[in-house]
Amino acid sequence: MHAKEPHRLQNLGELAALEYREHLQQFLVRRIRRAQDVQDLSQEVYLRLLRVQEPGLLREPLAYLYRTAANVVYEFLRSRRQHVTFDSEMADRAASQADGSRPDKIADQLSLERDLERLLATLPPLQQTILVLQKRDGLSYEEIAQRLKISVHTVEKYLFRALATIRSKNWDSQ
Amino acid sequence: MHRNPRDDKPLAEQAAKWLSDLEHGDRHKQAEFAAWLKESPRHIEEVLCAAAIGKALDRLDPQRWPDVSGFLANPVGTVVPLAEDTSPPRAVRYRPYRKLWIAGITAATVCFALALILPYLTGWHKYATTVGEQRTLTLDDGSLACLNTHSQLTARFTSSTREVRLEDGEALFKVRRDPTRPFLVKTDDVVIRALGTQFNVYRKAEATVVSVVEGAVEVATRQGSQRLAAGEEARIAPDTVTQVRQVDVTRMATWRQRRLVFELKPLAEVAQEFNRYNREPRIRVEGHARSKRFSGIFDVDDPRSLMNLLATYSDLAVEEHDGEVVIQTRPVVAK
Repeated sequence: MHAKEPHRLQNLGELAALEYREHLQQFLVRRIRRAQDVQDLSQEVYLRLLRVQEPGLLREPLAYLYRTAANVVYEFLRSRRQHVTFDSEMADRAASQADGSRPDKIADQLSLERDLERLLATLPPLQQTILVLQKRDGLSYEEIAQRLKISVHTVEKYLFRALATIRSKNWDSQ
Repeated sequence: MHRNPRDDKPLAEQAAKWLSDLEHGDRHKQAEFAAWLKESPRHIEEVLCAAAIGKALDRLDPQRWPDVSGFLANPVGTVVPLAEDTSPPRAVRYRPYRKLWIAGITAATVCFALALILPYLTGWHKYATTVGEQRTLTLDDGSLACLNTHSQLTARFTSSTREVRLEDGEALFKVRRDPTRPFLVKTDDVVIRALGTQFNVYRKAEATVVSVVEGAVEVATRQGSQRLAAGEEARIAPDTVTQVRQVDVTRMATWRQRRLVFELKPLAEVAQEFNRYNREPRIRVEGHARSKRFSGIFDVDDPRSLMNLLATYSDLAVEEHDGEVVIQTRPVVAK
């Protein structure tokens, strides 16, 4: 059965990864509007994944991915030096944001919510409904399927499509 | 147990499905997912973005969600047909080809390569490979020289010396020990003296790169000489200080397995490497795309794998015309 994230922790590895994920989440939420930044991050993470032969990657790939990505973000935020992957303008901005002053975070959160609200409104009704039931109301795929009288497969299909649409939309037009 | 093929779905959808499967405790998918992540940095990018969006939606203020009560009241019969879906596929868009030849540059490159073919000297033996070809030579003293694509070397062995000139391209040397006759490899910028060893020399247009796989070498440049040990790589260019860095020896001379390994290399350099091995398609990178950095492991004989990776970036336009592939940045289109 489907439950919300905190209850889904399967072991300590994921718990540890969650710690790092806060940094990562903040970074991604800020940068998702700047494709180049996310690409640079992914390139660096990719390199690190290629280098490891650790069983950790195979056992807990998702936790491992988050941890690695969060490390990259963390190292980047900590280092004032210009990193090869990131331009100096970005480094300056990140350094000034690293303190994470409250008003900044709130403003980020608000602009993110506005973006999401706008993007959700552009989705077809069925996709909107599936997302609302899953994310807002916390229903499982099976419960959503029963409610809408469609198959679980269809629920998944439209859910993934809706998420992909949100990802692909232009996040800049505020 | 069997999953629908993901390949025909946009990467963002595939990423969302992976996250869903894994979060629903599909534990036996872990190794498969790890392998998928290692396939491409684009997969990593999409998973990270999908996770960020998923979490942002989890936290979204309930008042911001669209009102779906009308739809819920009458879901049957209101199922939206696929055609009304507004999500555009994030697929490759081949743009109409723009005729912007840089014929001059190509011609200059060819002339430069021709100029490198030096007059034949007596006592020197010449060995060469064409584009895409690799050869292993046994030299007169029993040492081996593996010659990479589009490369040329000349060798002269006398009773007192073993001398090899790398005229162009790249070669890996496995040197047979002979204390009475030093083994020397020369380019315009450097003389490398083998100290019983295995090392790679890559003569690029702008620099000579020496990588020591085993043993040690001594490199002499205009600035002086220094010793390189196994795992060290020196970049020697005229008028600049020789830079030495540590390199994983298993990543040296991967060309012998016909592999190209890039670590955050500018796209212009990645394209240049592919062009060393393949006459077709020639890859040309223009404008800002030239300095965009990429990582990956590729088969030298499969430039398509690079095209396929690049085509997944929405900010890059990949156009093909008459055996030439042109890559440039695509202006951001507001949707």
